[in-house]
Amino acid sequence: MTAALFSLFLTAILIGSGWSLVRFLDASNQLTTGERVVAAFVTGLVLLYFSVYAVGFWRLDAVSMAWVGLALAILSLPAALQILPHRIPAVFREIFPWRTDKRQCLLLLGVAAVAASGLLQGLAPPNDYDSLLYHLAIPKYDLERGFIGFPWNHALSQAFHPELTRNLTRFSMAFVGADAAQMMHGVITVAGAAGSSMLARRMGLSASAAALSALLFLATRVVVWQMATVETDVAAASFAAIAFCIYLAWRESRTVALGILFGIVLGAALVTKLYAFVFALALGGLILSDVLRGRLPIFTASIGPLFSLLVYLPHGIRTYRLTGNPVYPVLNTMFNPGKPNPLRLEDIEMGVGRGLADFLLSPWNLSVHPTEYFDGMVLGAPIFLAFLPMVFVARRQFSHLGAMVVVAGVYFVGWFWLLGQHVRYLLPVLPLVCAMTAGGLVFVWDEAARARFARVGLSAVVGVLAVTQLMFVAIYAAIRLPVSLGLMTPDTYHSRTPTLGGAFYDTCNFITEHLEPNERVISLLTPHSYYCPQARAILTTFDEDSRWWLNSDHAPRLSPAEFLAHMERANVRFVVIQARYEDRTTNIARSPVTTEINLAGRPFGNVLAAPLQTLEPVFENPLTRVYDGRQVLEMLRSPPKL
Amino acid sequence: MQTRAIGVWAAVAWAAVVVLSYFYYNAPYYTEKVSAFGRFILGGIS
Repeated sequence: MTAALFSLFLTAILIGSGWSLVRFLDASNQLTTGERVVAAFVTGLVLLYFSVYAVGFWRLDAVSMAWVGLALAILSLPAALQILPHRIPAVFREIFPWRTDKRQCLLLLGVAAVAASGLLQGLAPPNDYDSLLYHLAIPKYDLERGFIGFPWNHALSQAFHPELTRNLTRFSMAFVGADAAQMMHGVITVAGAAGSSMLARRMGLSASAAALSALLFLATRVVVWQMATVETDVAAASFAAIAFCIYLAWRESRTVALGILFGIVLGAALVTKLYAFVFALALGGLILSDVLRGRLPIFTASIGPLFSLLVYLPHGIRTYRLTGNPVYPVLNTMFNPGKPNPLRLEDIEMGVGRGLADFLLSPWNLSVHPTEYFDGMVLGAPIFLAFLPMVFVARRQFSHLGAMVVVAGVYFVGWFWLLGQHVRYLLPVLPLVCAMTAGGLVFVWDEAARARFARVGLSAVVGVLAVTQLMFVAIYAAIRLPVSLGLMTPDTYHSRTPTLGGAFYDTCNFITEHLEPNERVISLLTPHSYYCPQARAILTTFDEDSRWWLNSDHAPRLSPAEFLAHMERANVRFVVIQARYEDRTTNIARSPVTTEINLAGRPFGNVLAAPLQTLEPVFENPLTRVYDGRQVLEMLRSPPKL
Repeated sequence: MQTRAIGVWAAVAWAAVVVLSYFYYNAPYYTEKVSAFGRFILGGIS
């Protein structure tokens, strides 16, 4: 309940704090009220991002973040007087108009149900791999230390990812916890659904089709999953959709001010996910085309890209100072030749291949063979492949279709040849795809009204696709809602819910409960879970040489004598290891495959493997063991004679 | 008029081919997921 109230207030404050600037930049009234609201929300997030940095590098706790919240609340007062009392219903009606027909009402009910379910699921304890590893672990590390630092000991290149949503997480966790951060990411997802709907309206689609566009966005399997987590792909998609909406208005108004707003919102996408630069490049292609065709003067056209880069600049400078690469970990072979490349394409490459035939077949392959060649069931049922092509048949009925095809097409080319072909990296163009698919489906549906049997056939296909997609929505709700609503304990939830690798919830709770403030823990867990202490964890090295991973692929190997000397100084209370690895991701396994882990290959494993074989753990479960650090130290000082 | 009807049938046929191909290739995925979900509902995965 606290997280829900917090999210409600923070959403209002974010919209309010961005509202005045949006009104000023859209003085020519090119945006609809709904577009202004979502643009104000994103602008408010950008203000929060910079404010958390401005204060958090010196102090990060509930008190310092209360000052940030208060400043934003004061900034939102003019908006509160203008919009809050009487205009909220009008804004909702504009984004999701409901007073027309049954089809529209049904679709809007679907949007409301899926959105509400996703928002509530944010109250569930986090259990997705990336959040446990860094999305939540890094903000927790900073909060434990009391300022924004850098978790060198975690040896994670992901720590250099842009931080707009990470600062939102820091802010939310300072007051409430991870549940509030998850719920705020759900609010960003709802803004993305509104963006999908508004794109459809800008295309000239009906209100029903716009609602369908929002529903397609919210019901995409990866959106259903990420909406209740602090993962960042969907947030980047939301900002990209809203930026594109503003661009469509900007290319008609040609005002410098709206170009600035476009740049700020596009900048929000850049400081959320680095692959948003590919989306910016795709938009750059459209901007160039508009300049060449005389739709935009060249000076005005440069304003948007310039401001988006200004939003990215502080992060780029900080990253450059620490690594020599402003977009680390991307393009590291170019900026730092000879140093480790955390994103080696050959390590992360998916898809069938990179030839022209592979490119032409890739929409089919990623829709029909998602688990075979790609990163799993990202989209769900192949709704986009089935119905998006129909929009081209009716292309003359729609506005801006050419612009949408150019941006989505150029992004797809970039995704295919520049990125690792993960389907979830296609998310920045998902709202565009949803709007175009909604246009195609509604067109065919209306055309089929004239042919009775065709309508029956179409109904059957749409019904199968809808039920399949609804299954993903329902399954995630069935898994996460019981614990969100307090009908299941977090312990039961973690023991019953599949995760990639494991959340180590009970293990970390044991350590947290028994670790004194001046004591530390050596962790050989993968991931070193968010639930464990972060700032007092020793992960790959002792603190002296924790930046090794910028210069080498392998952690420095300590001799037993060196390790002993470090450990004696570090006051290690526990050593926690992962004894087994559980693989639940295989397509063929009907139950998890458990594999024993050889500690010798892990950091510190050369020293710890032997003594840990003879010691009794103080805590044990099927995947992990916790040892008393003092016993380990004794064993290292005087190993048993064989 | 006839051309439009053929167009609609072609659209329905394309969508049907996509759906049938999808389920043909992904039947094992759905079998495994339904089974895993059943274990979750029935008391957990050990």
